[in-house]
Amino acid sequence: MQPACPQLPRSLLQGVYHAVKVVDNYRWLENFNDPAVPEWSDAQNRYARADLDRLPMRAALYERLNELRSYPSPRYFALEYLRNVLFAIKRQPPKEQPFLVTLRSPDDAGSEHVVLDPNQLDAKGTAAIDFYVPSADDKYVAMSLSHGGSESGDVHVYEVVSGKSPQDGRGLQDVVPRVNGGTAGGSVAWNSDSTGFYYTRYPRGSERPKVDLDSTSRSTFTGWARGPRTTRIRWAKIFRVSPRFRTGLQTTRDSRNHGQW
Amino acid sequence: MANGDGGEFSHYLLAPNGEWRQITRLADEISRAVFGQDGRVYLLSRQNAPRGKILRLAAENRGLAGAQIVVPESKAVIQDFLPAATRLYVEPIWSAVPRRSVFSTCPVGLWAWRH
Repeated sequence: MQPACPQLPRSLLQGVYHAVKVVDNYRWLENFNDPAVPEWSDAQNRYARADLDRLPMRAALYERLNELRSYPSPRYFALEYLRNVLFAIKRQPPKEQPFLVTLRSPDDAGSEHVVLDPNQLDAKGTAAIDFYVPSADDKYVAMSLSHGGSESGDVHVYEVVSGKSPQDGRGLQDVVPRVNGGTAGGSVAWNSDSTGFYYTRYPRGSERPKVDLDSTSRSTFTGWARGPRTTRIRWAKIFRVSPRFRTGLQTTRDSRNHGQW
Repeated sequence: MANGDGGEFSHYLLAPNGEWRQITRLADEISRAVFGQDGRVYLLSRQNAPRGKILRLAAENRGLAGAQIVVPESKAVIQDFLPAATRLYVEPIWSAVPRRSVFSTCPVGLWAWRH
């Protein structure tokens, strides 16, 4: 039986904004600690559920939409053409996360090569690529990886052809923490001989008050080599940054000039 | 470098010799800068052009004085742009309906809208 439509009580809560009085009848719904709020929400759900569940076509629609949503047709985005290599992020349902591939050409799907599939880094499917930046010589790619939807990413360097990862003990063990942020993003710009890159650096640990940790970044340079403990960090450009500043980086195609935007 | 979320930016270039120089200031109202494949910097400016115009600057330049107008302000509001190998892709809004336009980055036909 269809339950009665739940009634929504109105309140006379009033706010004053720049000397203008505003009455908001439903602001009381913002307080989810008031038991009346979840009660009303639950009643709404029961009401909607009863209506939706008796629709004769619902089950077929549900099944068809799920089928479409999980259809394994791939989609490519974030394309980057460097010399003879086309980089792309590929989404392929039912895989949870998109992954990085290279192609010889957009007309040659058979040449696809997987550089890194984050679904294999984390069985729960919560490891994700925030962004990737190939080096000027196409041999390496710097990738920001984050977990659990945080978009707080650490940058790892992978060899494009071998897909060697920092975890496999064969080198390339440099990981640069806190390069990408959920709100202000992040970026990497390689140097011209692919021996290092500039990156956006969010404060770590106790370097800043906790409230500022994710709201500011500045550019930093790291040189890296093919082995552990070779990361050296020096300030590329130290600005007198206040917490409200954040930066983005880009390089010209030949990686000779760099921009801090 | 973004000054908070108010849409103010300043831009810096690092030359191959390690020299940093500032090419735009917050007051220049440059909201976006992108390197083109030609190595030059493409800038979206809203200074005296609230709907936006696109400038181009050689990487050797010291400031905006030598910037060339690639796409002047028009009735379309420029949302975004992408310099490709031989074309400049511009995403404008005409009458609140976005559609893409393509400009040549070559000197001939520089300002001609191509739909």
